[in-house]
Amino acid sequence: MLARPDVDAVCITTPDFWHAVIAVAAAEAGKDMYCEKPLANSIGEGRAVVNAVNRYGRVFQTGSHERSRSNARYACELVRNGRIGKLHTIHVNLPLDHYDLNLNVGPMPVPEGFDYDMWLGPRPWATYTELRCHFFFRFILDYSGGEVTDRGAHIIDLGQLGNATDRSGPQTVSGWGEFPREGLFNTAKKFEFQFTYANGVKMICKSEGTRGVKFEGSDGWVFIHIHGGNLEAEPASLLKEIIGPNEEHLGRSPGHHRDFLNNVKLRGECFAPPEVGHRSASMCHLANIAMKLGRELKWDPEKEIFTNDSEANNLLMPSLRAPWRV
Amino acid sequence: MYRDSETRNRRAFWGPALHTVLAVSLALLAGSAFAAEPPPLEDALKQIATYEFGQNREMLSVVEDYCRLSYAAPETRSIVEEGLISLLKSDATYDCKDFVCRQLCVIGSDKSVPVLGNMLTDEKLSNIARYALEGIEGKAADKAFIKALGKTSGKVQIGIINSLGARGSEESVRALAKLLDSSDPAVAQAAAAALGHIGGVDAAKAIADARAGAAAEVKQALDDGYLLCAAKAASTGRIDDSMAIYSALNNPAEAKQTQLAAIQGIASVQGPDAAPMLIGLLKGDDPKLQAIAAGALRKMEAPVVFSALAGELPNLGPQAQLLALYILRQHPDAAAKDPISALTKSEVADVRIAAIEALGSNGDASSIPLLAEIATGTDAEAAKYASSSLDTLPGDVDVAFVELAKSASAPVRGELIRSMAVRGAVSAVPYLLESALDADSAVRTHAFDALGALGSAEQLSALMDLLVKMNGNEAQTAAENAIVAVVQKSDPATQPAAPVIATLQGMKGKADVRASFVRVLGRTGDASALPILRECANAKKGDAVKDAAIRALADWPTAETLADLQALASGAGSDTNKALAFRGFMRLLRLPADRPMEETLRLYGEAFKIAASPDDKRLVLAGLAEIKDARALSLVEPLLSDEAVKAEAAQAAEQIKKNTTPQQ
Repeated sequence: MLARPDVDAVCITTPDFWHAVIAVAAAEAGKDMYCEKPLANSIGEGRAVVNAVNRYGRVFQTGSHERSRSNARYACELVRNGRIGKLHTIHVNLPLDHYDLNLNVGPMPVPEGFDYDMWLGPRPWATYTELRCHFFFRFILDYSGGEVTDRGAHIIDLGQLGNATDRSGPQTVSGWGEFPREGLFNTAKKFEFQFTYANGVKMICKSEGTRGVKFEGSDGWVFIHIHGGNLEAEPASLLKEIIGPNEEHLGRSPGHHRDFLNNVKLRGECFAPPEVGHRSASMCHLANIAMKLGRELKWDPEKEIFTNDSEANNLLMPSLRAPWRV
Repeated sequence: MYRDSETRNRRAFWGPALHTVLAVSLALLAGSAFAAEPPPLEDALKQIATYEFGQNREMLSVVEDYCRLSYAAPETRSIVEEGLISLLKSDATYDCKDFVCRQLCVIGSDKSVPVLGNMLTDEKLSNIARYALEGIEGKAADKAFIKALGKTSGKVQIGIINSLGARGSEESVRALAKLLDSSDPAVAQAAAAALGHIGGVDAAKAIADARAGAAAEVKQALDDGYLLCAAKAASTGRIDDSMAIYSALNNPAEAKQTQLAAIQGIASVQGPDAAPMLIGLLKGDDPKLQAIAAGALRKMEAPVVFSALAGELPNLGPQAQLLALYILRQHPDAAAKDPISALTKSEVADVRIAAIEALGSNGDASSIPLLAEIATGTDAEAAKYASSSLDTLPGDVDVAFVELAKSASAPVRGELIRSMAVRGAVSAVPYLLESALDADSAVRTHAFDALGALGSAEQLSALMDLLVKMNGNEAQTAAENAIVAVVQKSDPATQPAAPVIATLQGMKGKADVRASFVRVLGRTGDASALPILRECANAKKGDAVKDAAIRALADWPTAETLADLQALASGAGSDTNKALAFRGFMRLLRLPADRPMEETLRLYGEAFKIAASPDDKRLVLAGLAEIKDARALSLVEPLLSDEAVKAEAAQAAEQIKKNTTPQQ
């Protein structure tokens, strides 16, 4: 498909761990891309995607469609224009659905007609069992990052947008996670982690509460519900505020998919460009790394390395199974 | 699991008694992870040697704990690493070795390199060895990869090549260069990619040499490797080297995506200096070159680029104009206003629309008449974008909006007033108050809408005066809306409804006007208005005021008016008033409340007594059907034999039973 000259753009809707390999190959083939979130399954792979897209001058939309909702953008404009006073804390609520993450399963024969080796692609070989694939891949760290990278990629993304750090990242990350010690799955089933940013803002993420993001400032707060973008605020009159033309505007999306198509035609930047998608996914991966190691990590968002823990740096980019590369 | 106690316990565990570390219970560290004392490391390692997928992986977790928690204890960490290495040397299962390599990926040191290096040439183990070895810093790991390179082929060799590329191993350039002409195209492709990631003069030269006469299936990989070398050269200050590569690849004879990437690269390196070249491409007729040029121009930061682009707008074809207008919309420039304004009259519809949109960020006060004219014109599509551009026009232009509105036609006045509201033009409020008395009813309505958005408590008095004057006018509802909006957005501590209450209290005659004020107070939901609303609702005289007050109580946002409505519904008012009150009573009874269930059931019982018609009874039954208490059945059962509502009663009874049946 990538070799076809009559294909201008591709849509990448594979499990997370395939995103980067496909995206880099698509960029090299000169295709524009709509890629589901999280942008990649590791920070290193994400950076490779950004570099490839920039190298080939491609248009790229990350599937972080929550940031295309007008309500969410309005809420972030309230924050960025100081309507809640000085922003100090961002609360991200990521309650898990009720899946049994301790489920014990054994080897199964690979179904006839299913190219399982291809499904595994760039990830280490692993014995087939049905729940490894399909929807539940998202609870295995080789392939995804659990709730943290699933809805976290949406909600943390909005936190980054409201904090005006969506092309950068935090300076520290710390937290704890309760990881299953048996069974197939190994993503955190309960967690609490937090980031601190250079501007002094803290982002606190918990596996509880009403799903969404709350921006707390010195003069009030605003909460964005996921999914749907409904807003709450204190004082409630905040939601009647007008953002004037000379204030900071974040624009309004014609729809996340339409935005992509428009920019394919007009060569502009989508609402969720690769750098933004990468940075939001990176937040999720940073959290998982910090929780797995159980240590506070210092992060250099410019160089994208940990500055206090060389071992943590070894988790930024997994070796990809041959012949795959980014 | 490791939350608060971890730091304290780690200190206790990895402290002075280091020699006993492997025998100490991990339970101290891991909280409740173990019911009994966990095995020492040696035993845990022994147990995982036979691990296969599907078996209990608790012992894997124990070993992982040892790896993680020995971070701050180098001597212990060394013991853990040696234990893992011994497993790799043993006949442990593949799944065990896979697990071990994942741990060594994090904690591995030079000590792990020999055993991992040996695994690299094993077809089955090579990938997991790479998993660990790729992240181990230092030349020892590089040497292990390079050594294995010559002993392998096919996928195994490709994996090793990829690892060398990922590591940026400069030591491997010579070996990788030899593989560029491998008979296995996949190997050659991998070598090209690896050399690109490593970069440097030697890698670039190797790729350049290989590109001459390269097989078609390797060409793209070589091109990408070359582009990577160019980017690396630029990022390390070797601008001339970078430009030499990009210039060579900016050639129509190259694959299109390669040429486009080269143009992108030139733009990245040269910045604004590349603008003339990029604008030249926009003027050309190759859509792909136009597209890459537009994308590159958009990423420029220098204003001079956008001034130049604006100057060229009249000289571009329609497609290039669209691209340029999109860029200028995001990068406004003072020089762009006039050429963009001219394009709002383009013969090409898409260009006209794009120009109107771009004027929203590039225009100034002088653009208001043009945009207002389009916004009120006959082209609906253009009007929509012009309205939007009026709303976003930058700068201090509020005064210009007002000045134009004063002399404009009614449609333009209305449009400008609408836009003032969206723009938050608070300084226009005095004009808006005047416009609320405009001769044109549409303008009056726009003015009240804007006053609702922009007004504050300071304007309440004026708004109430206007409301009085609007009596019977088409704009009366808009006037009421404006007052409600102002009260609702005011700080409750300032008692914003008080002036409205006072005005209503002092108002004589004019029932329609007083009814209007009653409606306003009802919609504010301000509890301080309740006494006067109750007074009006219970007035002996049945007029518009009483009607409005009962409706206000019936539509009240909380259950605070429940008793009022019950009394009104069972009182001596007109049938209409009683019906209004009854429906309000039933609505409020169904709202969430913290009163005891006994009280709720009592009120439903009272409702049945008041219910005057089968429809009223159906309302009561609908409410009862939501009750999650079996006692509600006793209220429903008597109606099961009421011919008029027995079907609804049966449904309600069934629903109550469902509500009170425990879920499976």
